[in-house]
Amino acid sequence: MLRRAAVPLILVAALAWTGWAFGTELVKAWAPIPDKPAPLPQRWEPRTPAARELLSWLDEVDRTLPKGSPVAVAPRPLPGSEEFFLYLWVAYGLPRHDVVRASQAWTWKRADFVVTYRMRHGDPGWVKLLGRPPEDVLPLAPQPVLDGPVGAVYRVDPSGRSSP
Amino acid sequence: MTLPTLGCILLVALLTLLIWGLGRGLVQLAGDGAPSPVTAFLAGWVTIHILLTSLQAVGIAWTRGSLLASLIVLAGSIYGASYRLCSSDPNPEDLPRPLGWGDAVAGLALAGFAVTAVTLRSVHPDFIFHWGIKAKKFVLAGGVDFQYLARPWNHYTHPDYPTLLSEIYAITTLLAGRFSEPALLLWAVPFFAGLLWISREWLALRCPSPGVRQAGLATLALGIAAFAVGYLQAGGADLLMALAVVAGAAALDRGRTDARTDLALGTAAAFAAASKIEGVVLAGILLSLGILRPMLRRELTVGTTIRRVLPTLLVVVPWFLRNRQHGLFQETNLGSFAPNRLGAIGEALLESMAIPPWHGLPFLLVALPALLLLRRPRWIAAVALLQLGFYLFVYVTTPVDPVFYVRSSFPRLLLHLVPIAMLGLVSVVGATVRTR
Repeated sequence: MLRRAAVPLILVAALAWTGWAFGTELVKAWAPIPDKPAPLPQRWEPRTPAARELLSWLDEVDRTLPKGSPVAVAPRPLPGSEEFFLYLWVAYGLPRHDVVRASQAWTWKRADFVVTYRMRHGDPGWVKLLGRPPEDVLPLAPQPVLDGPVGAVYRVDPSGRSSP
Repeated sequence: MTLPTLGCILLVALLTLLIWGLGRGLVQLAGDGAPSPVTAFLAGWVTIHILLTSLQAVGIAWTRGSLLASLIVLAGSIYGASYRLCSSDPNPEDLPRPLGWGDAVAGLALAGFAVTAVTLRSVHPDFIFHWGIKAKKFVLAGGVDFQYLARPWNHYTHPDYPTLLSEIYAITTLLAGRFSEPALLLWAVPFFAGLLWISREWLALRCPSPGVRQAGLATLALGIAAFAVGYLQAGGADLLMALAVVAGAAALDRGRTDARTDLALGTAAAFAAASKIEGVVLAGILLSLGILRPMLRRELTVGTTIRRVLPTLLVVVPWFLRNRQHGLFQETNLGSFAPNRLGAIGEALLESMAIPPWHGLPFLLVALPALLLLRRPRWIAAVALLQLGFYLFVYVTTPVDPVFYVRSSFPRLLLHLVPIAMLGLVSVVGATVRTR
């Protein structure tokens, strides 16, 4: 008797629980992404306005730079591991290129171009981000090759490059 | 939604049918009748993966032309041969069963997930950081881009992982002529549908009460869809793994050694091995149990062994050789056993099981050892427990920070195991209800 009554109860409870769970997640999925504070790159999704803006601009960068050229990513200083996640987004947006991180000396000296994010050549954050003396920073032409809404692309001056 | 995007979505639907038909014809040729739709679908993808690997091995770049030509030749020869040689009568087990309210609820859950995927509301971060970027590179390189994968600074893309999911995105992009995120993310839907379909098939065999079956399927669909939406599972490979686990465990559970069962087990194992690196281990588990079980009953034949093992060998051997050739295996894959970290790992595991998008469902895994003692769910529980054991082994031996590792991966890995626990429990509840 108890068993006969318990089975429908268990099933109804399980259904109600998972139904509520699904409904809750659907409602959350439809909630707008807040503008303020803007999410950092680790929390970006393809529909996040900041991500869409970056990817849209990188589409132009990807088509403009010579195919296969090594590109370093130099964002404005970001907290924690956010610089790494921004680099991943840029790599996704520049599939025709070999994308490396400006913050890693062993990779960024390979770069022919530097893509900045929310930062311009000469900004105070430029050297701070790299964490090394200015003479170790790649010599960049001061005028950007491409200037966009969220960043700029600078060419590395080959004459000033100290080591490959 | 733009017209080109709609075209890409239509292409995904057409490819789904083509791949299913291709697998159905091929399994019919190798077996003795029509396979279940899920086996056909998995066999289709395994075939495509082997085809792409072979094209690259003989130096043919993946282009729209080479893909279309090889698909036409492959489909034509398989359909031609299976039309002449095989009976098209459906297997009695596949005759349509009447649809119930639980099927309708499962359909709604699937549709809800599909809408979030196509509107970019449930995009897995690894679609950007891993599978999607690889797919773009493969499209540009006309094949798996080993030069890209081998560069040390690209380690974040898991260069040693099997590449099926990126290949799915790459061939869709090549055939469509554009990288359409909404269409590519929609690929998660047929895999989720396959998971629900194989669960329905298993419940039909192991749960005698129709009412409990319907409630069980609806509960499973809603629970998994909740997690898939809330934890952003469109565009990742974990739904593929969840499908492979249930399909493989269900085939193992049948306990037969006919061609249909052998090929169902063999294709599920091969599909797992092509999907993720932990899928290679899952394939090993499925095949070990799949050989051990008939061996203990003295039913193991050469034919059964070949049908079960060969598909996985065709996937794993090229993967292993190519990874070794290009130096893709990562040093961080394995470290040494560190028991002093067990406490911290245990806490992180519990935290991962309690994350909000799971709504407590992972705690059903505590029932797995008990399910092992019962006749109906024994084999599926054994698969899930062994796979869980492998994950725990990796966590206690990883050379990286185990707490971070658990938190960043275990919630997703639970997706491979929770459906099995739910199915096992539904079969137990169903067994307590007398059917008339």
